Amino acid sequence: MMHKLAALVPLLGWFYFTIGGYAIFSWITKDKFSFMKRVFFVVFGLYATMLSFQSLRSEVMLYKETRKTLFDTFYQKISYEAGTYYDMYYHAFRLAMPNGKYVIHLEDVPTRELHYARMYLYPDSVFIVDHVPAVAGNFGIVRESTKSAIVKQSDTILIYGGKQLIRVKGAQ
Amino acid sequence: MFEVFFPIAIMWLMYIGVGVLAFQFLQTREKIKVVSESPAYIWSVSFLIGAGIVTLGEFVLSLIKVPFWISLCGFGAITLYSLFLYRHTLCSPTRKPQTIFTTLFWVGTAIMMFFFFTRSMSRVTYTWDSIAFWTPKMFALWSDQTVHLEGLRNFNHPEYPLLLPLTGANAFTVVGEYNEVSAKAVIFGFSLALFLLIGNALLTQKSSKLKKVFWMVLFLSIFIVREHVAGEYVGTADIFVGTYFVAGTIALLKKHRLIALVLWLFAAWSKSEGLVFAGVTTFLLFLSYPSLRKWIVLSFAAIAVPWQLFTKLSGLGSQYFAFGSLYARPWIEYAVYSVHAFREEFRNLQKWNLVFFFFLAQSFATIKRIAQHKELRIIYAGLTVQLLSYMVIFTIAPEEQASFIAAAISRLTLHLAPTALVITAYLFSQEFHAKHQKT
Repeated sequence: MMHKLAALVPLLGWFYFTIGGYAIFSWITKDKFSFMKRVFFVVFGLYATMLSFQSLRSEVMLYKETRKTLFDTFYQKISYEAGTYYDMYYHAFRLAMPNGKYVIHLEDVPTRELHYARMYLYPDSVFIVDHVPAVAGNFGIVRESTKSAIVKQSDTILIYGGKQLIRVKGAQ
Repeated sequence: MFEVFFPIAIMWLMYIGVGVLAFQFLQTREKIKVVSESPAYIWSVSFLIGAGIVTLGEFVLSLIKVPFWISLCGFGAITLYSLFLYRHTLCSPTRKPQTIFTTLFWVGTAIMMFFFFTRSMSRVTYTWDSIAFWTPKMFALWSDQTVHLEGLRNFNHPEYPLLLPLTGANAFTVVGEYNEVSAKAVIFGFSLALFLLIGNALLTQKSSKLKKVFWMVLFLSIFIVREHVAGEYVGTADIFVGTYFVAGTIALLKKHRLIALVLWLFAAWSKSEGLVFAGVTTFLLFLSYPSLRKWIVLSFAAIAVPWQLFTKLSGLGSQYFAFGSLYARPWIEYAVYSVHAFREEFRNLQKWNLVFFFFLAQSFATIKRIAQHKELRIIYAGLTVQLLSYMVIFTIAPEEQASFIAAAISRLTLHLAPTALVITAYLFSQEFHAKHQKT
C-alpha cells in the first residue's frame, strides 16, 4: 500500500500529492483533522512566509533602480524607452504630414518600430512593405540612404534621423 | 509632478464621485446599509463602479457623436453633486475604532504600495501588448475624442473593450497632452482599490491577526501581481479583470448581490475574457435571487450588452475563436496539453508563491461546505467555467499552442488569483469561526 502511495509522488509532484492527501485526510478523519491541519499550516505557512519575504525584499531592492528615473520628466522617460521613435514619428513626421487621413508605407522596419509608427502617425494608417508602391500620391518612409527608383520618382517631404518621408509624384 | 498628481486628483475623484452615486442606488434597491461598511470598502467599490460607468458612458455617448471631453464635463458635474450629497458616507469614520494592529496593517500595505507606485512611475509603458495596442488605442481615442471604428481597426485586438484605453485617454485629456505617465498614474487607482478591498476583506474576517497578515503579505508578494501592478508585465487590463472578479466576490460574500453583479459585469468591460465569468455569474444570480431579477436583467443589458452589440454589428471578432480548425488538429492532445499547462502553472512557486496550493487544498477539504453555501457556489461556478474557457481557447486557437500558452497563461491565471486568495482566507476564517461556535 505504502509503496503504491510513494509511486504517486513523482506522478503528481509534492504539490498535488500533498493537496490530495490533505483533502482525503480531512474527509475521512474529522476528529484528528484539527491537529493535522495545524501541522500542515505551520509547515506550509512558514514556507509561504519565506517565499513572500524573499519576493518583497526583491521588490524593495528594485527601488535603487526606480529612484534613478523616478523624478525625470515624461520626455526623459520616453527617451529611455523609445526616444528615437517618439522624436521621429510624433514630432517630426507627424507634423510634416498634410491634414487628412492617408496611408503611409514603411519600408523594412522591425515590428516594434511599426507599432510606435502606427500610434504616432495616427490617424494616418501605417503599413509595413518591402517597397513603397509606385502609385501617385502614395506616402512612404524609407531610409535616407535609399536610392531606389521610387525615391527618384518622389518628393522628399522631410529627412529626419536617417529616414525620409516621401510622396510619390504625379496626379492623385 | 503635475503630470502625475493632477490627473489623479481629477479622475480618481470623478470615478469615486460617480461610483458612490451608483453604489447608493444599488444598496437602496437591495435594502442594505452601506453606511456600516468601512471607508476602504466604499471608496474602492465606488472607484471601480465609477470607472466602469464613466468610461462606458463615454463610449455610449460617443456613438451619438458626443466628444469625450464633453462627457467628462458632464460626469464632473455629477461628481460635484454626488460628493456633496454623500460626503458623510465617504468620509464617515469606521464604526470600529482603529487599533494598533489595523494601523500597522495598513502602514505595511502602504509601504509596499509606495514601492509599486514608484516603480510604475519610473518608466513609460514598455511591454509588448502596451506598445502594440493598449497605449496606441489610448492615443487614438484621445486624438479623436470619440470612438471610431477605423481607429480601433488600426491596432491589434480591436474587439477588446475600452475601460483601460478610455481611462488612459481621459488622463491625456485632463493634462491636455499625450503623456503615458499620467495614464499610468490614473490607472494605479485600480491597484489601490484592489489592495484596499483585499485588506479590508481580510480585516473584517473572524480570524486571527497572524492569519490576516499572512494572507495580505502573501498577496502583496505574488510575482505576477507585482509585475502587473508595478511593472506592467504584459498590458495592464489583466489586473483589471482580476480586480473586478475579486471585488464582486468580496461584495457577494457580504451579501451585496447587486453590487457584486455590477462589479462582475464590469470585468467584461475590462477585457473580453471577463464576459465568461460575468455571463455565468449573472445567470446564477438570476436563478438564485428571484426578487432581484428585474435589476439583474437591467444591469446586464446596460453594462454587458452595448459593447457586445457594437462589436457584433461592426464585425469585430476575436482571432482566438476558430472552431473550424478543431477538425484539422488532434484536439484531444491539444486539450490534454492545455490542462497540463494549467497544472504546471498553479504549482509554479516563483510566480504564485503558494496561493493556489492553499486554494486547492482548502477547496477540496471543505467541498461539502462550499456546496452548501449559496454565494460560494456561484463564485466557484464562475471560476470553474472561466478556467475551462481558457482551456478551450488554448485548444481551439489557431496560434501555435505551446508559444500561445507560454505567452498568455500567467496573465489568464492572474484573473483568478486574487479571488482564489480571498476565498481561501474566507474558508479558513469560516472554519475557525465554526470551531469556536461549537466550543
